[in-house]
Amino acid sequence: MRRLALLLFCFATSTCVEAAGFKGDKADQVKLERWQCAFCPFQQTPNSVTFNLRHLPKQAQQLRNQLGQQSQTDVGLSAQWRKTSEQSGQWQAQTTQLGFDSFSASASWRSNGQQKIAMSYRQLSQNLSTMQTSPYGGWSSGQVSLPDNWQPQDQQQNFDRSDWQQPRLDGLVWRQLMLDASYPISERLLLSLQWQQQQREGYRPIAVNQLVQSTQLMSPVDEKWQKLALDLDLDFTQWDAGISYQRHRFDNKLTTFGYDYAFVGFANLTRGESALAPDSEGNVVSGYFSVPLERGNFYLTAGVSEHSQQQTLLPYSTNSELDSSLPQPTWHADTQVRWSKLRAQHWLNSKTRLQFNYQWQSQQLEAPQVIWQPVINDVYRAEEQPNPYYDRQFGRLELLMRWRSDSGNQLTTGYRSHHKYWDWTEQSNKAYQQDYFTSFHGKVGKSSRYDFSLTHSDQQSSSSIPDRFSGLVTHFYPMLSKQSDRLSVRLHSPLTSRIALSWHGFGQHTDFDNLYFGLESQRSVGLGSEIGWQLADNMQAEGSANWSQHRSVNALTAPGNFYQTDSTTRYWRFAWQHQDLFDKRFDWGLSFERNLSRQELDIAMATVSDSWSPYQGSWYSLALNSGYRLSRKQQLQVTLRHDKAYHYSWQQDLNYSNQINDLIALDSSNQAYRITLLQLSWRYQW
Amino acid sequence: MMMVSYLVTSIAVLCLLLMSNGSNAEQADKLEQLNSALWQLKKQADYSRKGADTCLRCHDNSGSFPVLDIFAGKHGDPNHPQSPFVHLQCETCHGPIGDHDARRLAEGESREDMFTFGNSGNLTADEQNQICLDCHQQQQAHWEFNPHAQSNQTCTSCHSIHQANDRMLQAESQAQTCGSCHQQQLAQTKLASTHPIASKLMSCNDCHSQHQKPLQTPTLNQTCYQCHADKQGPRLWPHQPVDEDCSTCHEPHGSQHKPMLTQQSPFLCQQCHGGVSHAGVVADKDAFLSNDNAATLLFNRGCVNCHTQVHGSNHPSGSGLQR
Repeated sequence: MRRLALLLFCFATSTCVEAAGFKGDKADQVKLERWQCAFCPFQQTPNSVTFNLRHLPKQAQQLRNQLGQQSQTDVGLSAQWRKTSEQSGQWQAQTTQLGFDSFSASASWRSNGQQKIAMSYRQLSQNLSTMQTSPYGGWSSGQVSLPDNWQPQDQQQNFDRSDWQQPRLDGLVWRQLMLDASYPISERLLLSLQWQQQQREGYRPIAVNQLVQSTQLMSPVDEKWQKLALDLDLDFTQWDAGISYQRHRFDNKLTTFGYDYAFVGFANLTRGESALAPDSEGNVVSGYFSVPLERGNFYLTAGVSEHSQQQTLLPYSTNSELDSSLPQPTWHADTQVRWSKLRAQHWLNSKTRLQFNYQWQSQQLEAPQVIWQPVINDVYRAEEQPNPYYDRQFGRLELLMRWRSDSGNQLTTGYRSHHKYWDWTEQSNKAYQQDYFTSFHGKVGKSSRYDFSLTHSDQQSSSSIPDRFSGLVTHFYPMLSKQSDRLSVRLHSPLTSRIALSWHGFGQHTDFDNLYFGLESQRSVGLGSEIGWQLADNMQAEGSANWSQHRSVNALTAPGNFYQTDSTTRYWRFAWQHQDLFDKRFDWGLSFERNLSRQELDIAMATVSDSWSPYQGSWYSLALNSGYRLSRKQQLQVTLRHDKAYHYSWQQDLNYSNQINDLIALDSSNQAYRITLLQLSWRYQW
Repeated sequence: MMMVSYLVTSIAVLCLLLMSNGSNAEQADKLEQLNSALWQLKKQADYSRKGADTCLRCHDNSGSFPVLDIFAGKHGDPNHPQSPFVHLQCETCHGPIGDHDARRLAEGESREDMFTFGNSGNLTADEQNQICLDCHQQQQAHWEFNPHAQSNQTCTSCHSIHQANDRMLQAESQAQTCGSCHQQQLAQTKLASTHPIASKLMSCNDCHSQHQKPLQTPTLNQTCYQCHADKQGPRLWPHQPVDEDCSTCHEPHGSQHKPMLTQQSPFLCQQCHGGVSHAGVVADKDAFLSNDNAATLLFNRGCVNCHTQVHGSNHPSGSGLQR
């Protein structure tokens, strides 16, 4: 009680401590009025405007991850603008890529680093491949359809793809608008307000099925998410705390997605329908508290969130012969998640400290449990079953000790336990995992260092899940008991003052307590190396090579009858960069980067074995950029960049129409892209 | 479980009240123990007579460490009330000048050190960071629990003070800065299926909180829901791993397997659905499947060809997550 009173006293009497950095004993003797800083070249952040004219082929859409520029036209104009002012506080406004598909803009105003109002907007396009074609149309309606002359295909027939069309290429567009404001109510109390809206509009690849036949489609997307957050932070010398409230809402204009069946189906059955995410809303209240202790510190955060949705249900089936009345036309559900995290740290001495972490989370689903009679694949009526009704709890406790020597070596060792618990009303399922881990971070000489870590995990699970949940997913989702060991080593050493080399490797083995069918064991090993070489002051090179192998062993039909899958992945990367100043006005740079990856898959069974076509990915980029300063305020820049990418995978969207029955895939038979970007930029600065 | 949680929390709060002394005397003692000889030397040292003008007589942009770009950033802004240049100027961070500006040095004698920062700095990581945190108090409360602090990283391991634009505050350079240590994650951003990090449309701190906890929100799933709100549920027919941990199936930094899956389908699914029905029958196409052809449950999107609503279904007939 006395301690609590002291804390309250501190809260009431604490005064502001002026920011100071390092303060020597004689700091108070300094006569700052004499420190004129007459030679300090104070600068104001320059204002600038840049115009970019560029030529970029449409194929660049498929290289968006590497290029960062997307386009639906070959020639484009974009602008960047940046303006800063110190009048009436500080404000700054900036736009980037104005005119390209991806666009961002931001503006902020600050007063002495305290009050702040900021706005930002950004847009991101996920364009589709130009190679994809489909027999479907009506993409924007949410009810995609086949052409009138479409003949439902028997699985023994080949597809006639002559009249397939290209879906829209603009894919999915993300738009994010954010408003952020903070206001110091007092020297110790900061109030922050944030509002954020995200909107997604466009199309997303989706597969739909008709028995075992499957078709890839474009599902329309038109959804919006909004969040309002209010934070209050208290900052005191002895402790600090904060409380936060968030309200968020998800609106989906499309809650169903209908499609024509492409294959010969059940009598009079020509259409299917899927349910998309319904509208929902939620509230989150959380807080934190942090305080220094006698020889350590303490941090606690806790919160509760609730999420609810109300949806109108679809009919059981589009097949009128199998459809029956629903138990209820709508379904309302709430979930409540509560969590707390607690962390405490205590120094035993100046080199050794103990740390205690505890995390707890609980999720409760509050929804009416109803007996449903679902229909499987519009042909078979399933057995009656209730929708899952479960509560879930998760806890993790961690105790660790860290020791650090004067020379910088650091030893960490600890224990961690996880608890998972599901309450299925009639039965419960538990999983309990214990980890023992130790790691050592050592130094050799002045700059070489090495890391070593070893972890042993043991997970025990009660495998009973109520039989009444005959749905495929819930019935076959046990938490397998398993034991796992992992070892990893990393060595980093500068060979010379210009060359740094690092090596790393890991090995992991997991045994599953699987008494009959399914996964028996997994084993992963990997090796890798990176090198960084500063060839000259203006030239550098990087390289890396990684190899890893994953093996899983499954029991196939009976104990002792296994099939074994080996997956081997190799990855190489090389990058080289040179930048030079030709004279005071003219600079130029050249860079090259190449990535290569390859994954092989081998499957072995009791009597046969097979190797599947390897997954291969390759990307290289060669870029030349050059700048010329026209005057103190104007600069020209030319960028020429050539990129080539090649991806092949049996999992990716290949043309299967003549190779595989039962599947209509969006056609993307050529995954090799080669594009050249040419951009001319003019920048004016004042 | 809830009782255990309350018990642990109660014990911890009790310990907190017993251990808290309402002052920072012991905390200060601890810091004193950490202080190096140079720290103690500078504690007693004299400040310069003319502040930054004294330093700029020698230090400019011509040396191996150009310093003047600090005046293009916040730390060199004389109008910002918390800027070092409103206080003790260069000596706010580098310590009092002491004998560092001694005019004449005897042969073999070296100039007295000033505080230097970074991995090759002459202070310990704790000492370096203490100087920064003295002004950046908002980061102080949580810094010591942060893995960066616990691995002896200094503020200047990531932040650039003597530059116009801090590399950590620019989306263009943030991933490269983080990736100088987190090399595996940086390499993953260049794989076939990634978040748009390499294209600078996202940055590391859209999800991560470098100074405080590892993520911007208390749980991983909540971080993902910030953008992927449609995955939050609740669902009429939930898929349990979705509610538990998105990273059970997804690798958020990037993967060879679309869409950022930790393993390719159907092998990913088989880690749980390995024992029964068709999901367990993978393998050799010639041995199991007619016409020398593979099936939809193996190829392309694998299991998701049929179980399309893999995040959970809201359809009354969606117990198999097929619609």
